[in-house]
Amino acid sequence: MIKTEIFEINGKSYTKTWSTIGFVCRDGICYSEAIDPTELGRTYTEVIAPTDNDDEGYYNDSGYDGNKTQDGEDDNSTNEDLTEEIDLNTAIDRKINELSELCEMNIEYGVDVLLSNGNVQHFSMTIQDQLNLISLSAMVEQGMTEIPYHADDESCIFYSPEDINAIVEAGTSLKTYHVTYFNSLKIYVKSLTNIEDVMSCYYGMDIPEEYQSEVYKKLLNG
Amino acid sequence: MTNSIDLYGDDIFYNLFDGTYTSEVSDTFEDSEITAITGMGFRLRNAKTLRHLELPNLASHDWTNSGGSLSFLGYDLSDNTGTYLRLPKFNGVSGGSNGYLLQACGYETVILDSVTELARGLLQNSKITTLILPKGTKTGTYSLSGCSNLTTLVLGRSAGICVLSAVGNISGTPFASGGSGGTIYVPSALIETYKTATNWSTVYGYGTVNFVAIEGSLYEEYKT
Repeated sequence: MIKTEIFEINGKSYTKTWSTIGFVCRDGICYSEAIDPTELGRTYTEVIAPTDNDDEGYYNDSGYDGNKTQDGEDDNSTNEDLTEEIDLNTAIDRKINELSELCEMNIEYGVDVLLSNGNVQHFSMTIQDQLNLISLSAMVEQGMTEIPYHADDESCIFYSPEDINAIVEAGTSLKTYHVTYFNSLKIYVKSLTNIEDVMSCYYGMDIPEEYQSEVYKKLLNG
Repeated sequence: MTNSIDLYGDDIFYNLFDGTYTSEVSDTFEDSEITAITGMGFRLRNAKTLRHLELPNLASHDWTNSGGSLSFLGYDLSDNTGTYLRLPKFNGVSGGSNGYLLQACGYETVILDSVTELARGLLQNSKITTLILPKGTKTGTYSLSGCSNLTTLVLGRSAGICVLSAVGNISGTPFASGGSGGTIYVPSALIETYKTATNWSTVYGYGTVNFVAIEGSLYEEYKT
């Protein structure tokens, strides 16, 4: 559905035109939102955004030149089922999903650990890796002095209990940080009341202090 | 052979949130072998005091796995005078492939010689004062929002205007409604077209933009 809104700035009338399901297009150019001086009387057709790619489909990124539907016809249809895709709650859900994925990726990416021999090795922290760390901790507790493990893309070698502890500690700290950060960020995103603010959030942004959990504040302050 | 930096190899700086990385961040980082950023391997994210980055052959960036790989570049420099980032071959296009790459860039000037479409959030919340796009065709969602110091935009393409896909793409800049204003350098033949183009005409109506001919200006070399 195409919607329009007329408003004034400095005494001049402007018409804002947007689509509830995609883009508005004119003369072969698509816009996520078109604002023109009302006196120009411009009209737009509607193009449904692709839905199989969140980035393009949801965010109505510029440059989407999909002037045709899958059938190759100009599309001016109204699809009420899709209009919810750009309401605030959906925007929040999608943003949180995006941030959650990035949180997981940052954890899975893992850590660099400085070992007792002075070398730095990288250890990924996928779910399987995290399970491995639990087993390694158990081996340390059992008193083993040579514990077999491997860094990313490295052969399996024996590590000392001290090195295993360093790896486990680094992995745990990494996960704690990201999960804590994400949870505070999620609360902040849920507090937002307009889509523009939601969309402008990104993983790694500073979280307003009032949304920072006590744990996160403590992590931030070392 | 492409030197593609990927998820599990070639990590250069891993200091996300000033956290765990071990390498030292030098004043300058240069690597002419890098042509692509994929995965999350290349993380200069939070290299907030890096004064100069030289990646002359960087051509692509897979946002899917590495959004914001270069974010916060130079953001904490006490003086960013004269700092610039030029990516002559980079051409992430829309669809997310350069999304958020440079968000919160702390440099004064950014020159993206080959970029045609600014993707979502590309330079969001950056400190840039000047952005030069010799071949820009479109600005993406929130690509420049929050760039509160951006007063000079150079759009050098002669074949047609650089579409402003939404006024919100420049929200929080001096060009936005109520902003202090700035200058946009465009080919002289397109000045009137910009003034009446969708969304640009609105910005022009705000009185916050002065369209100036690129010819004869400091930026003439960027006309394409």
